[in-house]
Amino acid sequence: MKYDAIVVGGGHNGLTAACYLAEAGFKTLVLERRHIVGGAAASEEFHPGYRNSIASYSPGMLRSEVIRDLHLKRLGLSFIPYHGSLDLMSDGRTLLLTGDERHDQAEFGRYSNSDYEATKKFRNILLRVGDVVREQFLTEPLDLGGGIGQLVPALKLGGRLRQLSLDERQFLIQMFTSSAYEIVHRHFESDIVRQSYAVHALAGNFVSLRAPGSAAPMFIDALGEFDGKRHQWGIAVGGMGSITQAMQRRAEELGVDVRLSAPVSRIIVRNRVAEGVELESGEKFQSRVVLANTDPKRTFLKFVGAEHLDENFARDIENIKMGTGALRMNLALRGTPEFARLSGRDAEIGLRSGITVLPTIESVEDAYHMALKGECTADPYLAIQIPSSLDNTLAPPGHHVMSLACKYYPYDLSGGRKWADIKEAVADSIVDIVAFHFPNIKDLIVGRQVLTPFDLEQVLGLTRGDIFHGAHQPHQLFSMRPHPKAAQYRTPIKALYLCGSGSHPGGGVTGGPGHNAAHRVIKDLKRGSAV
Amino acid sequence: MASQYDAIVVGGGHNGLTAACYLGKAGLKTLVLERRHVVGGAAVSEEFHPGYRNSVASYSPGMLRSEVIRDLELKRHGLRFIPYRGSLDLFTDGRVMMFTGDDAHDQAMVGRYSNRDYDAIKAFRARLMRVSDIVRQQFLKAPLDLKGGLDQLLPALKVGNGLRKLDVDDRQFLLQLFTSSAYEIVQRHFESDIVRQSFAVHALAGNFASLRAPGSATPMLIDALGELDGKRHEWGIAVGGMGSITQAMRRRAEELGVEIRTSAPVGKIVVKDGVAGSVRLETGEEFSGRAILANTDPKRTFLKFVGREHLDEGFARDIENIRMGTSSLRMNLALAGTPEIAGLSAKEAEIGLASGITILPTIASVERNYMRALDGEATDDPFIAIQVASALDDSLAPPGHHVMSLLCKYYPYELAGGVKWDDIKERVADGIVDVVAKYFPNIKQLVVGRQVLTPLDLERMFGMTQADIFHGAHQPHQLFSMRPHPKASQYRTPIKGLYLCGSGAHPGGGVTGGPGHNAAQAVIKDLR
Repeated sequence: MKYDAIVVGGGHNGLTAACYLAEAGFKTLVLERRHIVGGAAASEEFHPGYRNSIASYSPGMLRSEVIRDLHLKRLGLSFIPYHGSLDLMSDGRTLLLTGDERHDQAEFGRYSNSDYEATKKFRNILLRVGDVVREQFLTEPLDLGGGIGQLVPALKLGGRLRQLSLDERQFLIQMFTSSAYEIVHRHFESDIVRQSYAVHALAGNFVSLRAPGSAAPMFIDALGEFDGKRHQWGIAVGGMGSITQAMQRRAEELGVDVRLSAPVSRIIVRNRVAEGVELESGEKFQSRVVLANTDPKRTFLKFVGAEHLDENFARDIENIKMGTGALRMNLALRGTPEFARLSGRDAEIGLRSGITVLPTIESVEDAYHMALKGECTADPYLAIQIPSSLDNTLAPPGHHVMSLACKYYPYDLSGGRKWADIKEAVADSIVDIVAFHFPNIKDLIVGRQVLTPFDLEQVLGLTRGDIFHGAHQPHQLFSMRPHPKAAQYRTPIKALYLCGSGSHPGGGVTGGPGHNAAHRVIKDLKRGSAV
Repeated sequence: MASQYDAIVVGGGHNGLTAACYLGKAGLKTLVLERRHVVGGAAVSEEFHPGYRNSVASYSPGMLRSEVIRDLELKRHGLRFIPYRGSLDLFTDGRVMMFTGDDAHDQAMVGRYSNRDYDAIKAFRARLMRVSDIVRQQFLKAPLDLKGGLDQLLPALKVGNGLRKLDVDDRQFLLQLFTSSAYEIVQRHFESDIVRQSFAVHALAGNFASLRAPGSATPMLIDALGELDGKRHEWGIAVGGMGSITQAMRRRAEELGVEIRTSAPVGKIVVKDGVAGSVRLETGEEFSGRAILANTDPKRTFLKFVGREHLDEGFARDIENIRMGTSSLRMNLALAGTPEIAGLSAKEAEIGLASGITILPTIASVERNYMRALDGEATDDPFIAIQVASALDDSLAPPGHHVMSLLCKYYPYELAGGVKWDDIKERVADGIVDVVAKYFPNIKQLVVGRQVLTPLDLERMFGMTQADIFHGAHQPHQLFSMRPHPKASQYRTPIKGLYLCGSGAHPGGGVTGGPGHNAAQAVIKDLR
């Protein structure tokens, strides 16, 4: 049988696209390589009795429009907010914010007289400016190849920018073109607040904090909306897999065929038109359109093949900057982790917070340059989540699971070393750092899962371990993501569309690329112009 | 107090003089105040060793706009240019790459290293020309006003219309030049290590950055804006050195009735009730003017001459945080003979000596140099841009003798461990001469005199804060409407009556005359 649409890859964006397509009446097939859907947004039992989000861990970017349109709550999705945010500085200092004004003011007051006010001002301007960016999330970026046809959307954007004050416009441009280092020096006076704001920008990037563009991830803070509530973060009950499981249920409810353990070997292209998909097993499926949820390198260079591409386009795709320098770890804990320097109520809140271990800005510079040379840092940035402190479905009573996203750990290692050879030693060194902040952690660990950059590629199909399908840097955003000739979800291969994080608005569990690609496909299929 | 002058220009660098000429021509009574005994700022020729003259700091006249040359009648006032005979890259591993503009020669030269990079270079240059035209057209205009509303629609649409003439590949390339890195650009366009190294490392000349950092490709675009005496993509020298440009400007200014006071260091721009009305010299002498134009860099202008007390706190913090510093050290050598070039035949060496010469470390070494400079350490494997101006111009050195300019990178302004530049200056210079001697084997026998300008010297001598030869880094967040600040990027500033006319304003550093030209237009408009 012939499908209207085949989605290659059942990650959250592929499923989102499939739901919108099916709701519009198109017969849709999703092909997923793994035994479960979800891509990097999956929950698994990584150690007997202990479940966790194995890779992505933050549901705070998922657009409320997608939650609503896909009926995800009816299908079982629920969220629990963090109680606060906790920064653990590598020198032992701590910064715990709970959202309670007096508490937070006193917390900042330990380090600076003016920085509490400065952070409030900074967040306000970030939110106002972030709104402009946020509003672009569920729309196609401007077409760089466009002519007069792009005038109306360009003027709309210009009109929106007019609503910002001069200071806000300056801030917006600085966020995209300046560096995290300069931004924090401009806005804060204390080392600890500068360190906190600058180093948090690592979460979504692999850069020097002095490099232009390194401030862009600070926007994340302004783009998040936890179940529709701005400036809040937290967890999905049951882990990130709950999001994609709910999506799968919705897709099947709408008649989408979801095939698991169905690895694609190629996208069938004839005369520069995509006609269907072939599995590694040799089985073939035909369709009017193909949507690739896989990253652009995998999609074009592996599944399509350079022989079907213009040479310049292929070289551009080859040269997309990939790699987030991230290593992911999950720990199974037979008890409650204790903080070295927090106790009582602060410790209770801390355990239920977004926790970050923050090296100094200088140390991050060293880590970055080491990673470029294929060396691993000994002083990592760690984004930690203990979701079992909020959600009792993940571990046995009294036990816990801990997520760690660790940076920078390069994909390519120096001296021809292989990740398999050093994986456990690197993981041990990370646990040592964790133990500096949680002294009892080593006694509690009963199991661990380590996903090196290489593992992230092998297990989840993320080329070079890039969790965003291409770095979030100014030259790879908006109309340039992943390429000016493929930024409106259409590609130089007719009937082939991109619907993954490699497209605008990019990585993170947003549903944006899936939503936007589906709308482009629906328009084209209805007009018959995709065929 | 009645205005003595219509306009007072603080600093007689090439932009200050350019502004003064346009103002003088518009009939405005104009005074230029210069701290040194000679006008020109960093565009100056001096006898740095008895009998040897050279451009002591800036050395490239190839950015000076032909409109400025024409409007200021600089040729009538004695200015002449001589083009280079080629370009010569000297690689740290001993390889050389010389271009002469002769197709067959250049093709064979690149052919030693790659089958396809000669064509790739041609395609790259052609594309660079097309997209740089768009940027070039913005040079002699005020950038868009970020605070503007509907009144900015027309100029914005004009820019948009210029962009419409580019195809999608060119538009992509333009965006990449501003937002991508030199490293990525060369990986994308060239296949051989040597061509990649050449194109990436040349981008250092105007920057202090990691070549992997977004924005580090921007200088490639600047490079494409060169036009020696109106001829695109040509580089060379001004006869008599860069000082000939500013001396010609001075003659033109005086012809137009502009008063020029040298050895007149400014101490204060006097601001009353938010309005700049006069300038006070360090001697206490005061001059009043309806408009004050600062040719000095933004930090010096606002934080030293105006003073924080007259500035909004947010604006002052932004000015304080302008990224400054090009980590450049400048050296001039007096040579009692002709330098030989290793690895070149006598015939090639003759062309090579009359070329723009560059010693190029590897991309990896540049990364190390950058990191070391951030840590306050000087490199021992420098990038060196060399000019032997006397190979083209016999007015600079005795017959058979030569002068050699060296622009060396990266040498940080701030040194680690409390080390002072004055203490290590000669040792660092010796190290640089050692590097030069690897490529010019007889150089040490020839050196009869040298001038070393460390970053600290550049600051002391020319008043360039943190020795930034561009008055603020050329990085995306400090260009166009952001240069030096959205509230001061149309040459007007938050202080009424105070204008910026130096390299800290659009279109930025280099001897272009652009900031001076554009600032003068804004002042003329306002005073009328």
